[in-house]
Parts: sequence; C-alpha cells; structure tokens
Amino acid sequence: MSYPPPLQAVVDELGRFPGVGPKSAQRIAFWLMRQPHEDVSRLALSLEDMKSKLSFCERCCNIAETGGLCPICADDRRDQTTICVVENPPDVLAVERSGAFHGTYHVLHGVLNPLEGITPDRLRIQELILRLRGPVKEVILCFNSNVEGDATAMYLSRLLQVPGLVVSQPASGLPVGGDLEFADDLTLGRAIDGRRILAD
Amino acid sequence: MGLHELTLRNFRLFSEFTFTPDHGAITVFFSPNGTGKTSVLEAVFALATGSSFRTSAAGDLIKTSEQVAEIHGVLFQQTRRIQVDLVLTKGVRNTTKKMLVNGQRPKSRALLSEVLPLTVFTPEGVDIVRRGPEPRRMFLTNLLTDVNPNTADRIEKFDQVLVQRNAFLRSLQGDTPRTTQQKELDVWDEEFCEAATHIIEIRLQLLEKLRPLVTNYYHAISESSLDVGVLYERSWQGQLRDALRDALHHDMFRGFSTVGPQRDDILLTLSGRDARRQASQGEQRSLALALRLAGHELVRHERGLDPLLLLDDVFSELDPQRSERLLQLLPVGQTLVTTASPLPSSMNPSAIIDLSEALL
Repeated sequence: MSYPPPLQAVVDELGRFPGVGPKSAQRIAFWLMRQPHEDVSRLALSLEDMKSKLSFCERCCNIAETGGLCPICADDRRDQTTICVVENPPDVLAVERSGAFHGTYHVLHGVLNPLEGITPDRLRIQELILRLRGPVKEVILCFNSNVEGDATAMYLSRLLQVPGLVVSQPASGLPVGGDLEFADDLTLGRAIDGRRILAD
Repeated sequence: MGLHELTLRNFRLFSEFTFTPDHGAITVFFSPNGTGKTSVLEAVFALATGSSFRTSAAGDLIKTSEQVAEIHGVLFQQTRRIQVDLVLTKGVRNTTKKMLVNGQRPKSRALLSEVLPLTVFTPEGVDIVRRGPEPRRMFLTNLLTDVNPNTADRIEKFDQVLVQRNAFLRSLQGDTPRTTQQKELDVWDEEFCEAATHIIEIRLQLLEKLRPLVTNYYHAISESSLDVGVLYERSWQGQLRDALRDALHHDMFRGFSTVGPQRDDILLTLSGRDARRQASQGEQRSLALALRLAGHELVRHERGLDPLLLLDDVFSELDPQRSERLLQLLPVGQTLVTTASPLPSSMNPSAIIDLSEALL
C-alpha cells in the first residue's frame, strides 16, 4: 500500500533535504496535509519567491538579489582591496558581527572534502581568481579550524601565489573569556606560537 | 578513581544486574562457564571506551530478543561523582550507541580516558605479541590517551586526514592524477605528513618511557634476564613525503594509504629474536603480560592514579608460578577478576560474586 501520488511526491521531495530522512519526510508531509490551504500556499510562495528573487552575488558569490551585487559588494565604503574568503554565507554574517572587517567577502560554498566528493572545481575558486585582476592587495582565508578547512586554506594559499598579493589567515588562539587551564593543548600551543609581544 | 556502581539492563545474558565493587580492592566473579562473567567486564570496558573487547558487532551486546541494552555506571574521581550511561539500540541495519557522561554527550575520546582509564588482561591478550600489528597499534593508541588524554585530539586529527586522503585516492579511480588533482593531492599529502609526524613523535616518546618498564616486568615474570627490545617499526624508509610519492601508484589502485603511522608496528624482540614469530608460547605470554603491566605502571606514574584492572580468566592460561608472580607484580587498586577455576592462593579478594544467581 503506497500513498496517493501527490503525497508521495511531497515525501520524496522532503526526503532530499539535508538531515531529513524518510521518517521525518513523512511526518512533515502529513503535517502539511493537515494545515489550512492558505498556510501551505504561503510556504510554496515563499519558496518560489526566494528562488526567483535571489541568486548569488556576481562578485562574491554570496546570496544576493538576482542580477546584481550583494549589499556588501555594492557598498563603495567597503575596502575593495581586501577579500575575506569563507566557506558559507552564514560565515559572512559571523565575520560581519565581529565588526573587525571592512573589506569584501568571497563565499566558496564549501571546503575541500574528498569524502563528500567536494573537489576544487565544485567550489567558487575560479570566481575568486578572476577577482584578483582587480585592485586586490590581501586575501584572508577564514575557514573552520578543522582538517578540511586547513586543507582548503593550504590549497588556496598555493594557488594565490601572485606577486604583490598578501595571503593571510586569522590568528587562532584562546577564546575571549576562556579559561587557560581548560584550553586543549593544540589551541594553547597555537596561541603560544602566534603570541604577541607586549614589551620589548 | 574507579567504579562505584554498575547496572546492566538487557546486556548479553543479563535482564537486570547491579553490583557495587569495593573501592581499591579486588572483586572476584567466580561461577561456572556461561554465566556472564566476561560480560560484566565487557560492560565496564564499554563504559570506558564505548566499544567491546570481544566483538566488533555492537548488536551482540544486546540480549537476544530485546531491542535496547543499557549500561549505567557511577564512577568516582577523588570526590567527584561521574555518571556514565551507554544505551545500545538495535536498528534495522545497525546498532546505535548513545553515550552520556553526566548527562552530556562526551566531546571526544579524551574525556572517556580521562574518566576511567583501564588495564585489561584477557586470554586473547597474547595476541598483542603473536598476531598482526593491529592489536599493538591499538595498545599504543589506548595507552597514549590513558597516559595523556590531551593526545586524543592529535590522534583524531590524524584519523580524519587519513580518511580524507583515502577518499581522495579512491576518487582517482586508478588514474594518474591530472594537474589540478595533483595540486589537491599535494595538500592532502602535506596535511598527512604533518599529522603523521605528531603521531609518531608521541608514540616514540611513549615507547621510550615504556621500554625499561617492559624489560623489568618481563624479567620479573619469566625470571630470566633476556634482552628485551621494544622498537618502533615504520612502514616506510627515508622521508614520509617521498615514501607517499613512491607508493602513490600502489595506493591509487588500492584506494587507501599503504605507508604512514596507520601501518606502523612495534618490533618486540627477545635476545634479538623477533618475538612475534620466533618466541615460544610461554615467552610470548610473559611478554604480553609485561607490556600490559608496563602500560598500567606508566599511567599510574604519569597521572598519579590507578587504572581499573580487569583480569578476565587470566589464571587458567598461566602456570601456578607465573600466576603467583603476576599477582605479586599487580599494583593494588580496584580490580575485577573473573575465574571459573580456584584462585591463586595469594589473592585476597574483598568480595566474591556468584553470577549464576544473578541470571535467575
């Protein structure tokens, strides 16, 4: 016994979502079935709206309104000579919240991960290289501090060996408000390696 | 440091079983075969490591015809009380494990070794000398984290890099890498070498400390003065980077890395003979015991605490003299012993538990 085809179609579509298995897909589909018609229409419209109005920024590949630049790339007060390369759009928000960066971004939409089949050609690396024709002086590689992030940073740092271009990485070390004695030894080791001189 | 209370539910033969071993003393499980003695030790081991020392199929741990097995342990660390819960649930294809330490998911293996370091003696323990390199590498890895829980991060990092490099090799599908792929491979190779260097460094440091202890224990157990060698044996020669390049052709076809710490071994020798192949059974047994005792001693010395000792049916494998000598060498601390035969005369357990009653 299988579901009526229209319901089965929804279950199948939902089942493709990341982190949603067949059981969750079923549960969500049944829940949607029970909702008032206008609620479901609103959901369908919002999805349609998102896809038709938004795509990726022509410059930095962040999410932006179709056919244009994202607000950051469009803002001429931003320093166009510094590019902060991140893995995903939420990382842009995270760096923005810090208030410490006034340049522009580049979103790769992933990091190297052979296990998940993510190779360099599936990342927005070509777009980044093209941007180097402009007045770029520094590229900051800002990835998660894990095996895949480190490998991507190393890969890009080799690719970006262009005369006059500085390639940097954020310092890694102790979190503000963190306790020294609870720091893991790798973090503490890196923090000490990258120490800053206070008095000479 | 040790175990205060253990509760098993639908674990192996047990429907429900609770026991509270004495702190800093010996508890003996003495009952006929097939009454679940080893299962109790297995449960303690699972609490400390998240896996079994008997089986790799976690589903085997769940009582037949039941769906969920639970192990609950109350541990103590000086005045700290730690609750560890392990729940195994049978799924359609595989068994899921859920581990909680004081109600929280542990962040890494490090936390587990920090909570309950263990030393295990089993009849299969001699495999560490006799069999292939896996049990020896596992011994090194467990001992590293028991001696210094912080090393778990490095071990984990190496494992992750290895998995990614192997996935990359498989993605080549046996073809020589194109230029862009070669650039990517270079990156994984460099990450691999860096992580590998850390692992080898900490392994060498550990063996340096372990070597004199193994020698002493071997001499004490076997009452001989043979020259004992404990050497790190690399799976390549020269620079790792070059070895990776030389092995690439091979590795591409196999889809995994054939050189590196994941393939290294410990060379054990007695008077220059390779103990893995050229030692008698008695010598191998003594050497296996000496390795475990040395590891136990090292954890005590470096961390200032007594790992919980699990002795699973050890005395049936040893002649009475060796059993007595082993008992003399064992440090005092909390100890759980299983046996189906009478205990060596010099053992003074604080409690003897007959499990055949627990199964009723």
